Amino acid sequence: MTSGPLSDFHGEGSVFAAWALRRAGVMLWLTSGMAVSAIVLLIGMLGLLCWLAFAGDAFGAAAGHFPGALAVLSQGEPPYTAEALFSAIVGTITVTLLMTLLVAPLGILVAVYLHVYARQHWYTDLVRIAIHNLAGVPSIIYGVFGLGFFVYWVGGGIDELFFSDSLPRATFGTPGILWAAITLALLTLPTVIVSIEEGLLRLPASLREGSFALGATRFETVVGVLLPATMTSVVTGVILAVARATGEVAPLMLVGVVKYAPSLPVSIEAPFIHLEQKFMHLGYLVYDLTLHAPAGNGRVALIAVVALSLVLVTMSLTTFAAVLRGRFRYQYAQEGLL
Amino acid sequence: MANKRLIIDVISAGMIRVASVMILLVILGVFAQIAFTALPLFESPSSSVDVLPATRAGPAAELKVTQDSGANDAGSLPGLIDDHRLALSKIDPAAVPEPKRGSWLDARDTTIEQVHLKAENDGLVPSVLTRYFIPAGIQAMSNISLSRHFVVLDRAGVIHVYRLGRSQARTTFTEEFEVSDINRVDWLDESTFALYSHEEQRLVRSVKALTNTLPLADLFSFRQYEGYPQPTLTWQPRVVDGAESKYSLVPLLWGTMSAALFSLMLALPVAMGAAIYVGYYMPPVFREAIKPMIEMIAAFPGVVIAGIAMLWLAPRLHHALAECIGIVLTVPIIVALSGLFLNQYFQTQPGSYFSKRLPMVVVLVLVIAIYTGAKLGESVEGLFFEDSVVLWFERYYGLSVSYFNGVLVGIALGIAVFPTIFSLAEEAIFSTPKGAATGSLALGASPWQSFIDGVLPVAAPGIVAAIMLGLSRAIGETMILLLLSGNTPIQSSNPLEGMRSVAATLAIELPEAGVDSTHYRVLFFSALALFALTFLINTCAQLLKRRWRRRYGVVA
Amino acid sequence: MNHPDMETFNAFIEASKASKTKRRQAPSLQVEDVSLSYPAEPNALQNISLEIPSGCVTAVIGPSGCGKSTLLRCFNRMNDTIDGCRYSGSIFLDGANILSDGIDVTSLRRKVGMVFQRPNPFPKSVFDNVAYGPRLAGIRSQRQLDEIVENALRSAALWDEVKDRLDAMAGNLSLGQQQRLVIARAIAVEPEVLLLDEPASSLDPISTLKIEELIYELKSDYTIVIVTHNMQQAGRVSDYTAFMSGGRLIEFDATDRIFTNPSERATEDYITGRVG
Ligand SMILES: Nc1ncnc2c1ncn2[C@@H]1O[C@H](COP(=O)(O)OP(=O)(O)O)[C@@H](O)[C@H]1O
Ligand SMILES: [Mg+2]
Repeated sequence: MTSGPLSDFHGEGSVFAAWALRRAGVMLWLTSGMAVSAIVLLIGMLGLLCWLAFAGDAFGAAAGHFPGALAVLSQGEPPYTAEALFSAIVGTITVTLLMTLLVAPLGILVAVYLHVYARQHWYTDLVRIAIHNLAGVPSIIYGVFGLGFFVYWVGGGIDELFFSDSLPRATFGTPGILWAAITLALLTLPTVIVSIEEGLLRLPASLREGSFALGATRFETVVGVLLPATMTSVVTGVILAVARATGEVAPLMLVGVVKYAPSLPVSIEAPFIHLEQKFMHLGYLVYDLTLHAPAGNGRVALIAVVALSLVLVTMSLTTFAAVLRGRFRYQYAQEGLL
Repeated sequence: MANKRLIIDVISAGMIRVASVMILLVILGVFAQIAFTALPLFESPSSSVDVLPATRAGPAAELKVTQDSGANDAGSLPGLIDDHRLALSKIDPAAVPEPKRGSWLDARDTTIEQVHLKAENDGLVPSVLTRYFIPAGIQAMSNISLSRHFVVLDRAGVIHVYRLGRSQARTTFTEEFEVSDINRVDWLDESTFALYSHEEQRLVRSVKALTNTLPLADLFSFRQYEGYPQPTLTWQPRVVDGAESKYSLVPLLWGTMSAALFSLMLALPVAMGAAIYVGYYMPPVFREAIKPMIEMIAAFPGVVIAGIAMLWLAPRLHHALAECIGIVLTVPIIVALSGLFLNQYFQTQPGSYFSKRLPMVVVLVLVIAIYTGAKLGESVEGLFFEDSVVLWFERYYGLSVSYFNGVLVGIALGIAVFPTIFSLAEEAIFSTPKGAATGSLALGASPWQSFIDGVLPVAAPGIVAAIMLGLSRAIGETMILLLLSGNTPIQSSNPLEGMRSVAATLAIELPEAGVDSTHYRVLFFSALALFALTFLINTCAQLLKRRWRRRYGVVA
Repeated sequence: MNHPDMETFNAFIEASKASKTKRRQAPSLQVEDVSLSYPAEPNALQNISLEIPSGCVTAVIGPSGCGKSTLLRCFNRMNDTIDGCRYSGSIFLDGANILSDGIDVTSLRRKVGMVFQRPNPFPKSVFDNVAYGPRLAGIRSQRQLDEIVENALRSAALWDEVKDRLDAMAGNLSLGQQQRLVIARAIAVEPEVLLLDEPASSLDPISTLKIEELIYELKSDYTIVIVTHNMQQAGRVSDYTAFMSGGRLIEFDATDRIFTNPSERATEDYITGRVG
């Protein structure tokens, strides 16, 4: 070991400097450990679900693997039958589709309004903050609102106006798939608005000016230039909304999901869709199976299969949205518009 | 041509404006609607006495039913015990006229006493809960309504509407009639009562009085309930008709907050550590791959996390508590020590602090540390706690332990809020301009020191906002609490006991509560409280973030 | 509805429609006492008066932030799109006051085309970019559109370079090509005035030269107003020059005179590079 004037600089001779370097290692390793454990957690949860679904020996008894799940379904103890599972799948898809049909145009409308039509005042700022906040309001609150407002108030009103002969049996004044879809749409609307508005904000102002300078009206500018240019952000927003909606169960419990629905909310004859019907949902099925299903070998596997499919759907949707967003940025960077 | 285009523009602008404003109003109206449903709960009842004409009170035959309702048939209203006592809860028929449990009203001329049998050391002691004074003397008195109100007509012709448990009448009013004629007052439904003359079989008046209201204080203060040894904070909505409803929101808020705090205690250190590593230490190239991966944890819906925790974790947690504690205590120490002594061997070059090999090594260290921690916990348990920490504490300290408990909730909820905190905190750290940190590094500070001095002060508002949003997420999560908390409305700081949260209560009870009943309104009020709480937290977080962005001109 | 300005303006629009063959004399612009304020900048323009002659190139020069772009944006009322922007005074386009309330700004903007500092093609194909304006006017026939697009691209001296990739995204063109595309896009709606706001400032010297040549070509058909930072450019392309400073018009004269013998001290300082 040298102990010349430069030894301090190299941090070798000085115990002090060596300590400082070592102490730096502590936080590096600790934080790295946290990041690693997060990834381990993700892989662990996925692995656990797969294991429970396909290979698990869940309760130490006979194998609770996937065939076991099928066995539970084929034993046919209502509501845990194959038909019920099918009904839950159909219910989930229907309510999500209905929600998408509502949330996409409404999201576009509000985002365009905020970005193009509204004057930029303190209250538009306020509205913007409120919308960002509403994206973080607990979903159960939307369920409470859906029940009090849509089901009892709007639905009760519709019943009195149009279905008064079948009262007191409620038609729309009771939870149903329409109210569930509207509630979900309201729940995801802030997400969609934020996504689309961010897309619009990212467009250079010169695009809008260029269109105006050619004598286009605001409407023509929106429809002809702005929306086509930001289509990816619309799609991203809607995908994120769908990803969020498929996992939500709590609000649905208040506005229309049931443990067992004897008939599907859609049919092949007119009117094809029964908006007032109650429906089954995969997320709720997980809840119900976890809480109420008779303990059996296949039960855990069945829950795991359903849960796994929910997670995979959400994951692929999220990934797709991320890829789209990346594309979007890339495309714009390419075109020199960013 | 141009005109048509202009007209289209003007019309579409108008439509977009109107439609958007309506949608915005609906979104913002969520708050208003919940408030408007909840707040009539506190309306003054006297304002809404509505005297109906006699003809609208229904046939006399209907009135007969209530008159004869006895104390004995299960499920029906409590009735008379003898000529001056009125049972308030189910009374053992064999024990009449000396009831062994329950409560009753004892009416004597100018006083009505509400008596309950209170549990004390040597059995049940009758004790007066509330006294109602009617100076003019009682002419007639009604039964107890489903919402636990009763009506007294005094000899001066004044009608008093009482709510059980409150000595002051909710409503007092006078009507013009011959008092001595009237000898019966009875409830027709939840909120309507009738006065009538028995001899003539004649209905004199029927009155609608608002009964689904509650003073705000009832939701938050200690109250003496029937049969309870002392005043308590209790949540117990009416289970059977006529039973006393206990609407204290305190246990629910307590449950919500404690679950959120447990979850933050677990999620916060991990999320912050991961955020610092990914946002500060990691080069952007790796970050782009790793960050979305960690964020994938958000793809697990609450109900799925809860399902896994209930089926897989809960049965194991009970036995593995010592191992868990061992792991939590040991792992950070071992990782820190290895960082202290091993880090120098993994530096690719002097001064560089990121190495691709590091995470692999850390995984290895983690595995070893977890194994050591578990073994350590197990052996300590075997040596000092008679093979079971849980049982040991139960045995010697009377600590109660439930299958569904705060630790379980904390773990599951922690997993649910982790992505929120991680993602936002990481964004705050990453988008902080690194100039100060680089400057600090150039002056010879260690990377960690540079982080503390150069990055943290700038990123702090963003990090705080991330934590706040995580907290608000934890407060609002429903399914995890619903499945894992046991839903017991007890108030305890013991993490091994269950709890009941506001959100879970809403999910369970709201579908069954009758529209506009007291219970319904109390639930809406709790939803309002939850909404206000999360909205407040979110707004603060938003404002913090905005200021932060504006101050440092960072886009995140 | 029978506002006098509007009637003159409508007459102007009709007249310009009638003379499709384009042999009409391009209009002049007469600015009278125009003042303009932004919320953040109350004196963006102060009492500007000048007359921009027809069929010439007029350059507007002046230090950065003196209101050149703002003045230019008055000619096609682009300032209307900015919240809180207020203006007064009048600008006569062939006798019609285009700042008066009753004017249909979309027709105005089709007569007064504008090209911005940075090329701003829409994220559409080359063809769709040029056809955007004509389509707004209701032209749907593919044959007609083809013709208009070809003519516009030829006028903008871009046709030979892009005729084989009309379906390519406009963003794939070089910056210089993009700027000429944007000029073609403006020409395609048959304007009579062209406003160019520093059209060459983001381009390389060769592209700049091409743009200048193009301006020279277009001069016979259009009244052109160009804002530029580049003195040499102003000297090369323009017939008249206006010098602005701090929201005021300092001097307006034939370009030769401004550059050789300015009457104001400030103008001379600026032109010789002592200021700005
Ligand atoms: N959209 C706007 N909002 C507010 N102020 C503006 C806006 N555009 C320009 N200004 C202000 O008006 C003044 C003149 O701007 P501009 O006409 O762009 O100058 P120039 O083009 O000569 O550089 C500047 O002080 C600028 O800050
Ligand atoms: Mg400018």
